[in-house]
Amino acid sequence: MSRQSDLASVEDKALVTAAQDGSTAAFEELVMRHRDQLYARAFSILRNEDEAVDLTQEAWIKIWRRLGQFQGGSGFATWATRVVINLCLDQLRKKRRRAEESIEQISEESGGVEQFLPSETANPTLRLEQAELREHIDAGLAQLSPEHRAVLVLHAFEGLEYKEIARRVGCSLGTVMSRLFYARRRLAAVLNDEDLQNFR
Amino acid sequence: MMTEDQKLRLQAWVDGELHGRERRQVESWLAQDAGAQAWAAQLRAAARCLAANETPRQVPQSREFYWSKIGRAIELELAADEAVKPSTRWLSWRLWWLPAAALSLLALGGFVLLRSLPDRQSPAVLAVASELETPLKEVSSFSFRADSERMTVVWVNFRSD
Repeated sequence: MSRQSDLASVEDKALVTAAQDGSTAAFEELVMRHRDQLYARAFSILRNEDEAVDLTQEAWIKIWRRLGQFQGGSGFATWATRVVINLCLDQLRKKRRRAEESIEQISEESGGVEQFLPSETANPTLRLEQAELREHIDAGLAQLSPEHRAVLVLHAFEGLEYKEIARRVGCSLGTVMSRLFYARRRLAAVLNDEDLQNFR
Repeated sequence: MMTEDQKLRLQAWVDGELHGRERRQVESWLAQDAGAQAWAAQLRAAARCLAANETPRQVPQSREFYWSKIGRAIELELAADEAVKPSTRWLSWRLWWLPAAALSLLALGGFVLLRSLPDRQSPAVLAVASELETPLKEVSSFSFRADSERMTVVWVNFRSD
Protein backbone atom coordinates (compact mmCIF):
# COMPACT_ATOMS: atom_id res chain seq x y z
CA MET A 1 0.00 0.00 0.00
CA SER A 2 1.66 3.16 -1.05
CA ARG A 3 -0.06 5.38 -3.58
CA GLN A 4 -2.71 7.55 -1.96
CA SER A 5 -5.05 7.24 -4.95
CA ASP A 6 -4.93 3.45 -4.69
CA LEU A 7 -5.94 3.61 -1.07
CA ALA A 8 -9.16 5.50 -1.62
CA SER A 9 -11.06 2.29 -2.35
CA VAL A 10 -9.53 0.27 0.49
CA GLU A 11 -11.74 -0.44 3.50
CA ASP A 12 -10.95 1.01 6.91
CA LYS A 13 -10.14 -2.39 8.36
CA ALA A 14 -7.41 -3.09 5.81
CA LEU A 15 -6.04 0.43 6.19
CA VAL A 16 -5.86 0.03 9.96
CA THR A 17 -3.99 -3.27 9.58
CA ALA A 18 -1.53 -1.65 7.17
CA ALA A 19 -1.09 1.33 9.49
CA GLN A 20 -0.50 -1.02 12.41
CA ASP A 21 2.30 -2.54 10.33
CA GLY A 22 3.81 0.90 9.97
CA SER A 23 2.30 2.26 6.74
CA THR A 24 2.02 6.02 7.11
CA ALA A 25 0.32 6.21 3.70
CA ALA A 26 -2.50 3.99 4.98
CA PHE A 27 -2.76 6.11 8.11
CA GLU A 28 -2.87 9.30 6.06
CA GLU A 29 -5.80 7.86 4.12
CA LEU A 30 -7.61 7.12 7.39
CA VAL A 31 -6.96 10.68 8.55
CA MET A 32 -8.33 12.13 5.33
CA ARG A 33 -11.34 9.88 5.43
CA HIS A 34 -12.43 10.72 8.97
CA ARG A 35 -10.89 14.11 9.71
CA ASP A 36 -14.12 16.06 9.10
CA GLN A 37 -16.16 13.83 11.37
CA LEU A 38 -13.65 14.11 14.17
CA TYR A 39 -13.30 17.83 13.65
CA ALA A 40 -17.10 18.29 13.74
CA ARG A 41 -17.29 16.44 17.04
CA ALA A 42 -14.46 18.46 18.55
CA PHE A 43 -16.02 21.69 17.32
CA SER A 44 -19.41 20.71 18.80
CA ILE A 45 -17.80 20.59 22.21
CA LEU A 46 -15.16 23.32 22.00
CA ARG A 47 -16.89 25.82 19.68
CA ASN A 48 -13.60 27.14 18.44
CA GLU A 49 -12.13 26.41 15.00
CA ASP A 50 -8.45 26.71 15.90
CA GLU A 51 -8.80 24.69 19.07
CA ALA A 52 -10.75 22.00 17.26
CA VAL A 53 -8.14 21.76 14.49
CA ASP A 54 -5.22 21.60 16.94
CA LEU A 55 -6.98 19.12 19.16
CA THR A 56 -7.91 16.76 16.33
CA GLN A 57 -4.36 16.85 14.97
CA GLU A 58 -3.11 15.97 18.44
CA ALA A 59 -5.75 13.23 18.56
CA TRP A 60 -4.55 11.73 15.27
CA ILE A 61 -1.00 11.56 16.57
CA LYS A 62 -2.29 9.78 19.70
CA ILE A 63 -4.33 7.46 17.52
CA TRP A 64 -1.19 6.54 15.55
CA ARG A 65 0.61 5.72 18.82
CA ARG A 66 -2.29 3.65 20.08
CA LEU A 67 -3.07 1.81 16.86
CA GLY A 68 -1.75 -1.37 18.43
CA GLN A 69 -4.51 -1.18 21.04
CA PHE A 70 -7.28 -1.05 18.46
CA GLN A 71 -8.79 -4.52 18.37
CA GLY A 72 -11.54 -3.81 15.86
CA GLY A 73 -14.40 -4.43 18.31
CA SER A 74 -15.99 -1.14 17.27
CA GLY A 75 -15.52 0.70 14.00
CA PHE A 76 -12.32 2.67 13.56
CA ALA A 77 -14.20 5.98 13.33
CA THR A 78 -16.06 5.25 16.59
CA TRP A 79 -12.82 4.42 18.33
CA ALA A 80 -11.08 7.50 16.93
CA THR A 81 -14.01 9.72 17.93
CA ARG A 82 -13.68 8.41 21.46
CA VAL A 83 -10.05 9.55 21.53
CA VAL A 84 -11.11 13.02 20.35
CA ILE A 85 -13.86 13.29 22.94
CA ASN A 86 -11.53 12.28 25.73
CA LEU A 87 -9.07 14.97 24.65
CA CYS A 88 -11.90 17.53 24.50
CA LEU A 89 -12.98 16.61 28.01
CA ASP A 90 -9.40 16.87 29.25
CA GLN A 91 -9.15 20.30 27.70
CA LEU A 92 -12.39 21.40 29.31
CA ARG A 93 -11.14 20.22 32.69
CA LYS A 94 -7.95 22.24 32.27
CA LYS A 95 -9.94 25.31 31.28
CA ARG A 96 -12.35 24.83 34.09
CA ARG A 97 -9.58 24.82 36.61
CA ARG A 98 -8.52 28.21 35.31
CA ALA A 99 -11.88 29.76 34.74
CA GLU A 100 -14.31 31.18 37.21
CA GLU A 101 -17.67 29.57 37.57
CA SER A 102 -20.00 30.58 34.79
CA ILE A 103 -23.36 32.15 35.37
CA GLU A 104 -24.94 29.02 34.02
CA GLN A 105 -23.32 26.90 36.69
CA ILE A 106 -24.43 29.27 39.39
CA SER A 107 -27.99 29.17 38.14
CA GLU A 108 -27.88 25.41 37.89
CA GLU A 109 -26.55 24.89 41.36
CA SER A 110 -29.01 27.32 42.88
CA GLY A 111 -31.80 25.19 41.45
CA GLY A 112 -33.30 27.91 39.28
CA VAL A 113 -32.45 26.24 36.00
CA GLU A 114 -35.04 28.04 33.95
CA GLN A 115 -35.04 31.47 35.46
CA PHE A 116 -32.63 32.79 32.83
CA LEU A 117 -34.26 31.12 29.86
CA PRO A 118 -35.61 33.26 27.06
CA SER A 119 -39.11 32.82 25.77
CA GLU A 120 -39.55 29.43 24.11
CA THR A 121 -40.92 30.61 20.81
CA ALA A 122 -38.53 32.34 18.43
CA ASN A 123 -40.88 32.87 15.51
CA PRO A 124 -43.80 30.46 15.15
CA THR A 125 -44.70 31.52 11.63
CA LEU A 126 -41.27 30.86 10.20
CA ARG A 127 -40.69 27.39 8.76
CA LEU A 128 -37.01 26.68 8.92
CA GLU A 129 -35.27 24.61 6.36
CA GLN A 130 -32.80 22.10 7.70
CA ALA A 131 -29.85 24.42 7.15
CA GLU A 132 -31.59 27.12 9.14
CA LEU A 133 -32.63 24.64 11.76
CA ARG A 134 -29.03 23.58 12.14
CA GLU A 135 -27.97 27.19 12.42
CA HIS A 136 -30.41 27.64 15.26
CA ILE A 137 -29.26 24.49 16.97
CA ASP A 138 -25.71 25.66 16.52
CA ALA A 139 -26.56 29.00 18.06
CA GLY A 140 -28.23 27.20 20.96
CA LEU A 141 -25.16 25.03 21.49
CA ALA A 142 -22.92 28.08 21.39
CA GLN A 143 -24.89 29.64 24.26
CA LEU A 144 -24.21 26.72 26.56
CA SER A 145 -21.27 26.45 28.88
CA PRO A 146 -18.63 23.93 27.73
CA GLU A 147 -19.67 21.57 30.53
CA HIS A 148 -23.35 21.58 29.56
CA ARG A 149 -22.46 21.28 25.88
CA ALA A 150 -20.18 18.32 26.48
CA VAL A 151 -22.91 16.40 28.28
CA LEU A 152 -25.43 17.22 25.57
CA VAL A 153 -23.06 16.20 22.76
CA LEU A 154 -22.12 12.94 24.47
CA HIS A 155 -25.78 12.08 24.90
CA ALA A 156 -27.25 13.33 21.65
CA PHE A 157 -24.45 12.63 19.17
CA GLU A 158 -22.57 9.79 20.83
CA GLY A 159 -25.67 8.14 22.28
CA LEU A 160 -24.02 7.48 25.64
CA GLU A 161 -26.00 6.53 28.74
CA TYR A 162 -26.04 8.78 31.80
CA LYS A 163 -23.71 6.50 33.73
CA GLU A 164 -21.11 6.46 30.97
CA ILE A 165 -21.30 10.24 30.57
CA ALA A 166 -20.79 10.69 34.31
CA ARG A 167 -17.74 8.43 34.16
CA ARG A 168 -16.21 10.21 31.19
CA VAL A 169 -16.91 13.73 32.38
CA GLY A 170 -16.01 12.92 35.97
CA CYS A 171 -19.18 14.11 37.68
CA SER A 172 -22.18 12.61 39.44
CA LEU A 173 -25.20 11.07 37.76
CA GLY A 174 -27.34 13.87 39.18
CA THR A 175 -25.10 16.50 37.60
CA VAL A 176 -25.35 14.78 34.24
CA MET A 177 -29.14 14.75 34.48
CA SER A 178 -29.37 18.36 35.51
CA ARG A 179 -26.89 19.56 32.85
CA LEU A 180 -28.68 17.62 30.16
CA PHE A 181 -32.03 18.96 31.24
CA TYR A 182 -30.82 22.51 31.30
CA ALA A 183 -29.09 22.19 27.93
CA ARG A 184 -32.18 20.74 26.28
CA ARG A 185 -34.45 23.41 27.66
CA ARG A 186 -32.03 26.02 26.45
CA LEU A 187 -31.97 24.45 23.05
CA ALA A 188 -35.74 24.15 22.90
CA ALA A 189 -35.89 27.86 23.59
CA VAL A 190 -34.15 28.74 20.33
CA LEU A 191 -36.34 26.44 18.24
CA ASN A 192 -39.93 27.14 17.41
CA ASP A 193 -42.84 24.78 18.03
CA GLU A 194 -43.17 23.99 14.36
CA ASP A 195 -39.61 22.65 14.19
CA LEU A 196 -40.05 20.55 17.26
CA GLN A 197 -43.41 19.31 16.00
CA ASN A 198 -41.60 17.29 13.33
CA PHE A 199 -39.75 15.37 16.01
CA ARG A 200 -42.62 14.63 18.38
CA MET B 1 -46.27 22.77 39.07
CA MET B 2 -43.55 20.17 38.68
CA THR B 3 -40.57 20.07 40.98
CA GLU B 4 -36.99 19.94 39.63
CA ASP B 5 -36.75 16.34 40.72
CA GLN B 6 -39.92 15.43 38.82
CA LYS B 7 -38.62 17.09 35.68
CA LEU B 8 -35.34 15.22 35.88
CA ARG B 9 -37.15 11.93 36.39
CA LEU B 10 -39.34 12.70 33.41
CA GLN B 11 -36.26 13.34 31.32
CA ALA B 12 -34.70 10.08 32.50
CA TRP B 13 -37.87 8.30 31.42
CA VAL B 14 -37.74 9.97 27.99
CA ASP B 15 -34.12 8.82 27.62
CA GLY B 16 -34.97 5.25 28.58
CA GLU B 17 -32.88 5.47 31.75
CA LEU B 18 -35.61 4.32 34.13
CA HIS B 19 -36.35 0.68 34.77
CA GLY B 20 -38.72 -1.44 36.81
CA ARG B 21 -40.68 0.27 39.52
CA GLU B 22 -39.34 3.76 38.82
CA ARG B 23 -40.39 3.50 35.23
CA ARG B 24 -43.89 2.28 36.09
CA GLN B 25 -44.29 5.12 38.58
CA VAL B 26 -43.49 7.75 35.97
CA GLU B 27 -45.75 6.09 33.41
CA SER B 28 -48.71 6.06 35.76
CA TRP B 29 -48.04 9.69 36.67
CA LEU B 30 -47.87 10.60 32.96
CA ALA B 31 -51.17 8.87 32.29
CA GLN B 32 -52.88 11.26 34.70
CA ASP B 33 -51.00 14.49 34.14
CA ALA B 34 -51.38 16.38 30.87
CA GLY B 35 -48.76 18.91 31.91
CA ALA B 36 -46.20 16.16 32.43
CA GLN B 37 -47.12 14.70 29.05
CA ALA B 38 -46.46 18.06 27.37
CA TRP B 39 -43.10 18.31 29.12
CA ALA B 40 -42.14 14.82 28.09
CA ALA B 41 -43.16 15.52 24.50
CA GLN B 42 -41.07 18.67 24.39
CA LEU B 43 -38.02 17.00 25.89
CA ARG B 44 -38.30 14.11 23.45
CA ALA B 45 -38.71 16.47 20.49
CA ALA B 46 -35.67 18.52 21.54
CA ALA B 47 -33.59 15.35 21.93
CA ARG B 48 -34.61 13.95 18.55
CA CYS B 49 -34.23 17.26 16.77
CA LEU B 50 -30.70 17.66 18.08
CA ALA B 51 -29.66 14.08 17.35
CA ALA B 52 -30.82 14.39 13.75
CA ASN B 53 -29.23 17.74 13.10
CA GLU B 54 -25.60 17.76 14.03
CA THR B 55 -24.08 20.34 11.74
CA PRO B 56 -21.62 18.69 9.36
CA ARG B 57 -18.31 20.50 9.35
CA GLN B 58 -15.16 20.43 7.30
CA VAL B 59 -11.67 21.00 8.57
CA PRO B 60 -10.86 24.57 7.51
CA GLN B 61 -7.44 23.56 6.18
CA SER B 62 -6.20 21.90 3.03
CA ARG B 63 -5.44 18.20 3.10
CA GLU B 64 -1.70 18.80 2.83
CA PHE B 65 -1.58 21.48 5.49
CA TYR B 66 -3.67 19.47 7.94
CA TRP B 67 -1.63 16.32 7.39
CA SER B 68 1.76 18.06 7.54
CA LYS B 69 1.71 18.52 11.31
CA ILE B 70 0.51 14.95 11.91
CA GLY B 71 2.94 13.47 9.39
CA ARG B 72 5.86 15.40 10.84
CA ALA B 73 5.11 14.18 14.36
CA ILE B 74 4.84 10.59 13.15
CA GLU B 75 8.11 10.85 11.21
CA LEU B 76 9.86 12.18 14.31
CA GLU B 77 8.52 9.30 16.37
CA LEU B 78 9.58 6.76 13.78
CA ALA B 79 13.06 8.30 13.63
CA ALA B 80 13.31 8.24 17.42
CA ASP B 81 12.25 4.57 17.45
CA GLU B 82 14.90 3.74 14.87
CA ALA B 83 17.57 5.48 16.91
CA VAL B 84 16.67 3.52 20.03
CA LYS B 85 16.21 0.20 18.27
CA PRO B 86 19.50 -1.75 17.77
CA SER B 87 20.23 -2.99 14.27
CA THR B 88 19.19 -6.51 13.34
CA ARG B 89 22.82 -7.40 12.52
CA TRP B 90 23.85 -6.45 16.05
CA LEU B 91 20.91 -8.40 17.42
CA SER B 92 21.85 -11.58 15.54
CA TRP B 93 25.54 -11.20 16.44
CA ARG B 94 24.64 -10.64 20.06
CA LEU B 95 22.64 -13.84 19.99
CA TRP B 96 25.85 -15.84 19.48
CA TRP B 97 28.36 -13.60 21.08
CA LEU B 98 26.84 -13.45 24.56
CA PRO B 99 26.63 -17.22 25.15
CA ALA B 100 30.12 -17.65 23.66
CA ALA B 101 31.52 -14.97 25.95
CA ALA B 102 29.84 -16.55 28.96
CA LEU B 103 31.31 -19.96 28.12
CA SER B 104 34.77 -18.48 27.63
CA LEU B 105 34.60 -16.76 30.99
CA LEU B 106 33.58 -20.01 32.66
CA ALA B 107 36.42 -21.89 31.00
CA LEU B 108 38.91 -19.21 31.99
CA GLY B 109 37.64 -19.25 35.57
CA GLY B 110 38.04 -23.03 35.70
CA PHE B 111 41.53 -22.82 34.32
CA VAL B 112 42.59 -20.19 36.81
CA LEU B 113 41.13 -22.25 39.62
CA LEU B 114 43.01 -25.34 38.58
CA ARG B 115 46.25 -23.44 38.21
CA SER B 116 45.93 -22.12 41.70
CA LEU B 117 45.61 -25.62 43.23
CA PRO B 118 48.76 -27.09 44.92
CA ASP B 119 50.82 -29.09 42.42
CA ARG B 120 51.65 -32.32 44.30
CA GLN B 121 51.64 -35.05 41.68
CA SER B 122 54.77 -36.51 40.13
CA PRO B 123 55.36 -35.61 36.51
CA ALA B 124 55.36 -39.26 35.36
CA VAL B 125 52.32 -40.59 37.08
CA LEU B 126 48.89 -39.16 36.90
CA ALA B 127 47.68 -38.74 40.39
CA VAL B 128 44.77 -37.28 42.19
CA ALA B 129 45.61 -33.64 42.50
CA SER B 130 42.62 -32.50 44.38
CA GLU B 131 39.01 -33.16 45.02
CA LEU B 132 36.72 -30.24 44.42
CA GLU B 133 33.88 -29.84 46.86
CA THR B 134 30.42 -29.36 45.49
CA PRO B 135 27.29 -28.50 47.39
CA LEU B 136 25.61 -31.53 45.88
CA LYS B 137 26.03 -34.83 47.67
CA GLU B 138 25.56 -36.96 44.61
CA VAL B 139 28.11 -35.12 42.51
CA SER B 140 31.85 -35.08 43.05
CA SER B 141 34.72 -34.14 40.82
CA PHE B 142 38.45 -34.85 40.59
CA SER B 143 41.04 -33.06 38.62
CA PHE B 144 44.39 -34.43 37.42
CA ARG B 145 47.27 -32.51 36.10
CA ALA B 146 50.31 -33.83 34.35
CA ASP B 147 52.83 -31.09 33.80
CA SER B 148 54.95 -33.28 31.57
CA GLU B 149 52.01 -33.83 29.32
CA ARG B 150 50.89 -30.25 29.83
CA MET B 151 47.42 -31.58 30.38
CA THR B 152 44.62 -31.24 32.96
CA VAL B 153 41.73 -33.66 33.21
CA VAL B 154 38.59 -32.95 35.22
CA TRP B 155 36.56 -36.03 36.20
CA VAL B 156 32.99 -35.41 37.27
CA ASN B 157 31.31 -38.26 39.10
CA PHE B 158 27.56 -38.42 39.33
CA ARG B 159 26.05 -41.05 41.61
CA SER B 160 22.86 -42.29 40.09
CA ASP B 161 21.68 -44.19 43.20
